[in-house]
Order: sequence, then structure tokens, then C-alpha cells
Amino acid sequence: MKKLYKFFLVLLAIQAGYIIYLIDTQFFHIIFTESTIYGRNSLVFGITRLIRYTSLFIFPFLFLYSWFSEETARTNYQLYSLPRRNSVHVKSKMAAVLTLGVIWLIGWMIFASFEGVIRSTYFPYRYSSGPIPLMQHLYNIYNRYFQNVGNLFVLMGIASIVTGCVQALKRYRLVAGTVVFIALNAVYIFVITPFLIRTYEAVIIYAIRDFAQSHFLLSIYLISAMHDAVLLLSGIACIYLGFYLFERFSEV
Amino acid sequence: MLVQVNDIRKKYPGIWALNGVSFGVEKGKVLGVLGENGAGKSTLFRILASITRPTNGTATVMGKPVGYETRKVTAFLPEVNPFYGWMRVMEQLEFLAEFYPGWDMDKSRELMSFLSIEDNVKIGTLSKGQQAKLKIVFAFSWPAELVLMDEPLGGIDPPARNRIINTLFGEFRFGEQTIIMSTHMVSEVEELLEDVIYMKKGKIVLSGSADKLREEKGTSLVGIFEEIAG
Amino acid sequence: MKVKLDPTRPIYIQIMEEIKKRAVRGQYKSGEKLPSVRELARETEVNPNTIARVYMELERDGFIFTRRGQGSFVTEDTTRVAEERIRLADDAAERFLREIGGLNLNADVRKKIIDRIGIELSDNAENENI
Repeated sequence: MKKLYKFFLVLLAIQAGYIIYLIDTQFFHIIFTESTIYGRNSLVFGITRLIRYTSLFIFPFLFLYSWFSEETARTNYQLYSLPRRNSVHVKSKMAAVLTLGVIWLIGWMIFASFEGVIRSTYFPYRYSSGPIPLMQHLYNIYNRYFQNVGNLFVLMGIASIVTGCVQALKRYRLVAGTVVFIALNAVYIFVITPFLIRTYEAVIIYAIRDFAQSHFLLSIYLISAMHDAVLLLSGIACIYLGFYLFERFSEV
Repeated sequence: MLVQVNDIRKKYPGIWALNGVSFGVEKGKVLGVLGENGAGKSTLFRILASITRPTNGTATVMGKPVGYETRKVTAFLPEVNPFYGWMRVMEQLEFLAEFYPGWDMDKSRELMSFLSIEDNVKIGTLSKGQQAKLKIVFAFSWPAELVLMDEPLGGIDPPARNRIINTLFGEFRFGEQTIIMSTHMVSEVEELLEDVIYMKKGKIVLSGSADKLREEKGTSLVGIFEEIAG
Repeated sequence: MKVKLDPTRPIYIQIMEEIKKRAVRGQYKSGEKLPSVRELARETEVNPNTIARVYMELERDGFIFTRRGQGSFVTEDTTRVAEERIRLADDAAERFLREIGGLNLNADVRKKIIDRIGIELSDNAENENI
């Protein structure tokens, strides 16, 4: 555990150093191109976005690793024989990991605030008319603060479901768990996300026609916000589904 | 009957570990579950401790089906080491104390000192004998109705074994607590058991009071075991 | 109390026998307090429930009595102990006779054995009150 904390600190230090370097060199505007709604999920644009997103994988790993090591060390014999429902143990691990995850994102928020300031300074706004620069600024702030919370919850939701399902197996739990986790993530990134985004666009374009045509950027913000809300809620739903599966199937 | 088991079956891939086991245990008794390795003893214990679910059949403790409700009156000492290796002995006991009402930490300390277990070392560094002793400390630090011991004396050196048995008899509230103990080393527990059930391949092949069986068969529990094992 | 127990015979009977023998031999005096169930269980490494049963049976036989809160005591009735002494002696004699019966001894050997028994027993009689 201590090693992991050190790893976190190192990662944060690296990010801080990186941002300071960018400020110094004024190459910020070259590295950060304008993000489109597809750019959100394309891993080509935005190195910090890349770091931010991939660092989230630590959390489900932490959760799954912690659970599987209980099984190999046989401490699950102790946990399940305690006078509590089995899911309590996995819920407490989830709570611990989510807390760490949220703290991580808050830490990111702080450092990314610097990035936001630099962006607003160096980045030319495309639209000079009234509310749009303000919207773009607000969008940038929103982007940095909330974007990855949804992702975190979806990842933890997947991890929770994996833990729950794997309980129904008698053998090869670790292998099966890893495979299912990777598979669900692939489905999330390559199938569900584009589908969701196309759905939002369809909703906005067809339901709010005028709005979309005259306020193109506004629709992007709406889509972002909707996407994050959907991610957050479905992540939470998956987490609880995982708990239910766990309670249903868990045994030594 | 404090414990009642009705036609319990448990299937694992390719094998029925328990194939129709039924018996009852009265309050206050010491029951021995005897059988070779693989006879299904550990599976039976895990079901009674409610950490494994039976495929068929029911088991009740104090009238309630085994599960989350019965865990608060059952102390389960599995064959494996269930303790956290990275925790110190005292930390582990304090952790457990939170869950079991009536935990007496003074008693834990007393037992640990009698059994010579250091309280400030990591559990991962304890020897097998000391781990076994720690399980006993756990069992008798709180007033469990039912104590389940799966191979409590397995692979322990004689001095540690004697201490454990000594503690067991010193602490066991006979008439109030019920003990179910399993072993494949029958000679070690010859004098400890009141009632016995012999298991073979997931079924009970013989059961009854130890002394009565000695009278009937004219031999020791070990002798009966050898007969059964064939 | 260190007793060598034969695992092929009911344990409770053997403990009962041992207690009776000790009372007969004078190791437990009349009215003397016996170890508690738990103490005896620890000493003999026998299940306390078995010991409890032993004490119950001994009490039923009239060999011991229990005072609530104080423990169990050997009976003060010396005739009861004497009865037991005789019973034990009879049992021993029976076992001896069974053993010796199948040996086909001649008169000479038999006389030697009878003399020896006579001497040994009278020696013992000086040390104990029968």
C-alpha cells in the first residue's frame, strides 16, 4: 500500500512538473488543439488527458487486486465467517478505493487549474461574439473539474461487476476476472461510448434543431454534461449491481 | 438439537464433496467428525460456518438456517490460516473484537500468555503451532455457542498440542458450548470426543457415542477408523 | 492424575475404576474432596463431559457425593469403600484364575503359587486395614 501512495505522489509530481515546463516553454498552444466531442474519446489529443484517463485504471486494479489477494491469502475465510453480510466487505473496499479516486481527481483538479489558466491565455477563441467566449471558458473549467469523475465511476462499476460475477466460478477466478474486465472495458470504449455520443447528437440535433444550428458550441457542452451524467449514474448502477451479484454468489 | 443437518449435498466441478449428510448435535456436546482426507469434512465445516453454500439440503444452528444470522454465535477455526499476515497479533484480535459481542480482551491476553504467543509480532511470522494457538485464542475470547474446529491439531508439535488441549478443556464451557471437531489423525483425539461421526466419500458411515462404540466394537476409535478405511 | 487409558475400552469406565482404586488404596481418603471436573479433565486430557458423566455415575453408585458449589467428595461411608475393595479384589482374582486356568499346572507348581499368594497377601495386610 505504501508503495502505491508513493506512486501517486510521483505521478502528481510529474504532472506538476510537466505543466510548469509547458508554461515556461510557451509551447502549450501547439500541444493542445481544440477538443471536439470526438476528441474527448480519442486518445491522440491531449497528453494530459491521456495521463488523466489512464491513471484512472489504477483504481479498479487496486480494487480487484485487493479482493483477489484476500482470496489467495485465504483471509476470505475470516471475512465471510464474520457476522456481517458478505457484500459488506466488498462495499468497504469499494468505498475506500472510490475515496482514493476522488482525492486523486481533486488533486488533479488543482494542478489542472493552472493548465486552464494557460489555455485561456494562449488559446484563441474561435467565436468573438457575446456569450460564446464565456461559455467556452466555462466549458474548459467544467472539463477539467468533472470530466473524469464519470470515467472513474464507470471503471469501478465494471470492476464491481467483475468481482460479483467471478464469485459464481469455482476455479480460475483471477484469469476469468481479468479477461472479463478487459472485455467490458473494450465494449465501453469502442461500442458503448460512440453509440452514446451519436445518441446525444441525434437527440440534440433532432429535438432541439434551432438551438443546435445557431449555438453549435452550446450543443457540445450539453453533450459533454449529459455524457458525464450518464457515465456517473451508470457507473453507480453498475457498482450496485456488482454488490448484488457478490452477495448472491459469494462463497469460499 | 443445537445443530441440525438435513441431507446436505455439495457439488464441485466433477465431484460431489458431500453426498447426503444428516445428523444432529445436542447442546453442550463435543462431536468428532472423523475421516480420511477428501472425505468431505472441511466442506461440511464450511457449510456449517456459512462460508460455503450447500447445493442441496439444509443446516440449522439454534433453529435458524446457517447464514448471516448464525455467524454471530459460531466461532469457525478453519484448517487454513485465516488471519492477515501483515497484521500484528493484537491488531488482528482487535479487529475481530469489533464484530463479536461479548469479546473479552483481558481473556485474550490471558490466553495468549498461557499459550506463549507474542502480541506484537506480525502474524505472517508465526509458526504453524502458534497460528493454531491463535485460533484457540480467538475461539475462547468470546462466548460462542458453537465452536467449529477443522483439524485443530494438524501438524502441531506435541508440546503445543498439549497446551492447546489444556486450554481447550480449561476454557470450554461444557454443557453450554458445543464443539464440533474434525481430524484425520484419530489417535490424537481419542480421549477428547464424546460423540463421533465417521465420514467416507461425502457420506456418514458410522455415528454414535464414542464409549458406546468402543464397547460394541471392542476397539478404539482408531481401530474403528481403520476398519472403515478398509 | 496420570492414567494410562486403553482406547479400546470405554473411557468413562476406566476413569471410574481409577477413582475407585485410589479410594480403596487410601490415596483418596474418606470424605476427601476430588478434583473438579475441569481439573480432572485437564489432568487426564479427557473430555470434561466424560468426567462429568463419571462423577454422575459414581454418585449414583453411592461412591461419591456432591455438595453444590463445593465439589465432589469421596463417600464417608467406609463400608461402601470396603465393599468396593472386596469387589476389586474379586475381579482381580477372577482375572487371575482365568489366566491361570488354561495353563495346565501340576500340583507342585500350584502349591508354590498358593504359598506365594498367601505370603504376599499377609504382608500387604499388615500395611492396610482390611
